[in-house]
Amino acid sequence: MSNEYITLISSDNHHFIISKPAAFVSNTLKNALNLNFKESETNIIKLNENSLVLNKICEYFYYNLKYKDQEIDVPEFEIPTEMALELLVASDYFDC
Amino acid sequence: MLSRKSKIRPPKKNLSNDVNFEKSWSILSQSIDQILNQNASNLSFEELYRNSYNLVLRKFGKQLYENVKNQISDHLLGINSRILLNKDSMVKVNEIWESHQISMRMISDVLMYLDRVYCKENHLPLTYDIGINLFRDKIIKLNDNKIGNHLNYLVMEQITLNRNGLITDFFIIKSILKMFEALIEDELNLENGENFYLKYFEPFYIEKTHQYYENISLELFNHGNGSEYLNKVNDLILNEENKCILYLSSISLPKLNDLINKILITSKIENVLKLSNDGLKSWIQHSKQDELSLLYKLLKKVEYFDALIAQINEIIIDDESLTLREQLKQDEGKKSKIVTIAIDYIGQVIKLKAKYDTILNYFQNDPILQRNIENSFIEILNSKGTKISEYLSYFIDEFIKKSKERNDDEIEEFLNSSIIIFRFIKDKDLFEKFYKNHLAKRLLKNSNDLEKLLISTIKNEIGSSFTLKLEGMFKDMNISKDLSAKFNHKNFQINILTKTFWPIQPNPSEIILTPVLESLQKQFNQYYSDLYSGRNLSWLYNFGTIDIRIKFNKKIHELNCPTYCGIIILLFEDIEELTFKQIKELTKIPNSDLIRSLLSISVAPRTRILTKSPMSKEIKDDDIFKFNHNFSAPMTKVKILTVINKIETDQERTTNLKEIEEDRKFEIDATIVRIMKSKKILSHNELLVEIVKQLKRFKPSPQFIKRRIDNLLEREYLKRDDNDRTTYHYLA
Repeated sequence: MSNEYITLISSDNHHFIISKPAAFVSNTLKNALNLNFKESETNIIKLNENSLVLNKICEYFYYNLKYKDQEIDVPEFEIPTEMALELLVASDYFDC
Repeated sequence: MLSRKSKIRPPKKNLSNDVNFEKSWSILSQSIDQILNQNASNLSFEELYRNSYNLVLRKFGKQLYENVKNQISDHLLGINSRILLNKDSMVKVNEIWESHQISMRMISDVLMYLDRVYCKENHLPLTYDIGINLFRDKIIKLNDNKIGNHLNYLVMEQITLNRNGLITDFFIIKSILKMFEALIEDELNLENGENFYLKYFEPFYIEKTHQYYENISLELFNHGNGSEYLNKVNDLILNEENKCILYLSSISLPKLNDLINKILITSKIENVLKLSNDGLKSWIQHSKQDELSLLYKLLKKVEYFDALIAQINEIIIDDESLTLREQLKQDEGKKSKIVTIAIDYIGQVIKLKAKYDTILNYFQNDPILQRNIENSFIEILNSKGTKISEYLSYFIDEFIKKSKERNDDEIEEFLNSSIIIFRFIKDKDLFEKFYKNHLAKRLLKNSNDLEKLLISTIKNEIGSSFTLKLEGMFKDMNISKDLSAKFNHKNFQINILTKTFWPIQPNPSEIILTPVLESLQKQFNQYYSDLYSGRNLSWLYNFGTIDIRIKFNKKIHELNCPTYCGIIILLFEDIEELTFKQIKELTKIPNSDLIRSLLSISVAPRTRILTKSPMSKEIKDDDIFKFNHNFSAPMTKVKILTVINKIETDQERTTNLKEIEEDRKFEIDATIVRIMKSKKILSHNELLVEIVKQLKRFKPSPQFIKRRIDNLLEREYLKRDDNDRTTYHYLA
């Protein structure tokens, strides 16, 4: 079952354990896990984001996973204004 | 949201750090090298991705792109130099291809950000495609397709070996061909789909396949054995069909099948059919189901029947001259009666038709072939002019006369065969003429249910206008039966024939009847004119019969004889002897009829009611006839038949033909007028087409029609156009 979860490590060394489907929302993470690189064996990915931003990103993965097929009554994803620019860059990096 | 005042944090400090291209590239380059050498499991995707991401973000995209391209290119050139051209090249290249694809997938994923941003913006091929194109240029096509050609050759060699019966590894062939298909020729123009497979492999494959099957089919043909050819070709095609789907691209399948069918079937079949010892002729002669069915199956595949049709036609004509003409010659040699000839001939035709029906059955009753075979029959049967119409009429006549002895199956078969041959007759009006004569004679003797059955069969076949007059004859017979019953005279029965329905013309000369007969005739004439005033009766004595009871020396006999014979015999009621001249004066029977009648009652061996002196077959004016009291016969009832005069039947035939000619003139004239009346103006050719379309009963020659048109022009039913002489106008 451990296969079903992967660990994301932030630059300030916080560990975020999320499900694979959630991680797969990001094409970057998906490629990292699916190809024959080190990450596919360890299921651990070290990232260059701080824990605050990474936390929000993980939140988004689950939000996306939950609502992507839902057409009505989708709640807005809350983005703290001060984090907006960081998240914008991150979404480009994660391709999601 | 607006109310909340907060400061937006600037993104990422690390981006503000200077990115060193050389440093990042050296990490990437090393890793790409490891990936290309299938040694990537220690690499961190995230690290590589981040490096390429940063490079692209810092506008090093172009440099990165070019560097990656060169690195892959160098790597492939290195591999190329290690590939040896030998039997194992296929496996080797396939291995390299497989791993190159995996490597490229990994590299392109690491460089995902490059693809997404740099390539898209600059409309350049993606990294993965670069890798594939480089594989094409640096491995397969390097040095004038050196490796590509070698692979083509190896693949073809394996396929040829397999065609010759050896076991082949189709997996490797299929992989190589799939690789060829993946190597796009023109990367900027993906739509036209040109790839290495289509450009280099397929033409080579088609050419080699062509050579291979051309050789094999020639060799097979040279064995000179048609059945062998068919079977082998069938096997070859089946084998090829089963095998090629294992390796060949579906794009090439139709081309391949067409090619093989064309080489093995279309181009050779004509000569194969012509093979003398084991070709079409022998299969047809021996009704070979296996060969003919297989032949049909193969021809159906290519939808090519021309050669078969032409040859069947020839064979039918040969067959006809072998069987039918031979039969005719035999019969004519033996001076057989026309009835015998007719029955033999029709019998042979039916046999021949049955034979080809069986063969047609082997051809799945293909409608095209059926039509062509029937046309061949029409051609041969009508090539003998009017004979077929006459023979069929005799054939039917003979069968119906003897139909009491036949069972239902035989009758069914008779009806079928008659209608088949009827269908083959072009000049149906001629047949009608012959048939009507026979029918008239039969009806006046005694009617038969079979007649009506046959007429309705013919009616179904061609329509009621053809049978109208024939049906009129039946109607007359029915009315006459009622009339005789009403007239109610126990010794008298009459048939009243409507002149236009019957092929019998009234005899203009009146003859002298004996008093008894005369009074009976008067009585009936009276009765009939009371019944239908204004109708004229003419008496046709030569179709009637008289029954007479006579007491001879030994026994009383009941004679059933033609009217004329009866009248002559009745003369001798009071007188012992008369000369020919006296009989003639006393009866006024026309000369030829009188001679015939006298021959049948004085010379015919079994019915010598009179004695003639001198006893000879010729009759002269002074010959003396006496009543023969010593006449005897085994049965009480004696039937006297009229001697048939052969010259007369020949005459009948020529008059028939003349009448037909006349009838046809009328019919064509009527048709022309009818057409012109509705169309008003028509060109000569249009008119010809119309006429032929409307005339069902016979097929007139264009010259004949032309003469009729000329005749109508003379009679001013039509006139020529003033400007265009080939166009006619209708004159009201």
